[in-house]
Amino acid sequence: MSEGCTREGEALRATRGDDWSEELRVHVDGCADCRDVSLVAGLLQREATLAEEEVGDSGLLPADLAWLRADVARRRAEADTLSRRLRRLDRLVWGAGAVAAMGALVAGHEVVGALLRAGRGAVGELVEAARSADPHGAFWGVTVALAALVVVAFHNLWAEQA
Amino acid sequence: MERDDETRAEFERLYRRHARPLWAYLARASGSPQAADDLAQECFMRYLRAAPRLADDDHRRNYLYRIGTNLLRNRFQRAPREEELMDDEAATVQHTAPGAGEDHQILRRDVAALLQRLTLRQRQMLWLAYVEGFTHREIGIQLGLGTDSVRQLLLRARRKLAALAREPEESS
Repeated sequence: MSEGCTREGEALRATRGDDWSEELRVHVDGCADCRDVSLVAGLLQREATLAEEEVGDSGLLPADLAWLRADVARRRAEADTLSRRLRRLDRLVWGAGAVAAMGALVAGHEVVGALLRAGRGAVGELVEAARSADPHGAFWGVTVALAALVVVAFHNLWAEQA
Repeated sequence: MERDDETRAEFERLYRRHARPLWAYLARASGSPQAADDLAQECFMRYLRAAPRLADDDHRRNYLYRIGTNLLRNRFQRAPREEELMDDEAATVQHTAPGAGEDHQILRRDVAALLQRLTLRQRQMLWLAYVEGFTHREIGIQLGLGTDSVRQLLLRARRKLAALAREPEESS
């Protein structure tokens, strides 16, 4: 694969600035790569001039209106971001509150304790063991609260990505 | 409030300097002036939202064109395989250099139509290199390519456009 000519940059600059030395012109006439550079750069620059003349007929806004539009879009995006963060915080607070309440209920309520003790299965025994080891229920309450917090956090992350 | 005024002044300065050439790039690379209207607005909106802290106008221009290049790619890129096939086709193009006088005639060709016979990536590269004067490295950053790849792909694209421009008028 050809790497092109080492003087392509010179040919491009000469085409862009329409500033040719006689020596470079002779080289370009004899070099296929530099002739391509000169031809393509010339074509595209003429096209760029034509395209910029079309801008007047296009829907491109004046600078002050473009600013207003972009500024409104930016503020809306910032408000959306803030609102998303508040919703996430809101979910987290509610989740933590619910978990704390549940933990307190499980740890301290006589009826719940009695129900748990009445359990005959492995879960009942596990719960009973935990309650026996920690009669005030602090360990149990904190464990449940932490587990629920993890669930809420994962739920929030998932909701954010979705 | 003062900072807002500064931001606004800087934005308007940037817009006045670059909106037209950016629009030209978007219009010719996409082949659609209507799309260029939307994309140019979107570029400036995204620029303002990102509020990049850039040292000078060259960096700001680079950033703006990078946004434009990405928007074009997201909206107009064909399936990757189809792009590859068109790139391969360009690789087989040989030089068909005519005499110097013929190139003068070629300059009257409808370049916008010729550009549409290239892939989006080829149009982007050619415009960024030969109209905007970006270096191979800067083009590579914008298109997510290495400098050597840009050099090779640009060479192919240039040969293809030159060959198309030298084709007899009626076959284009």
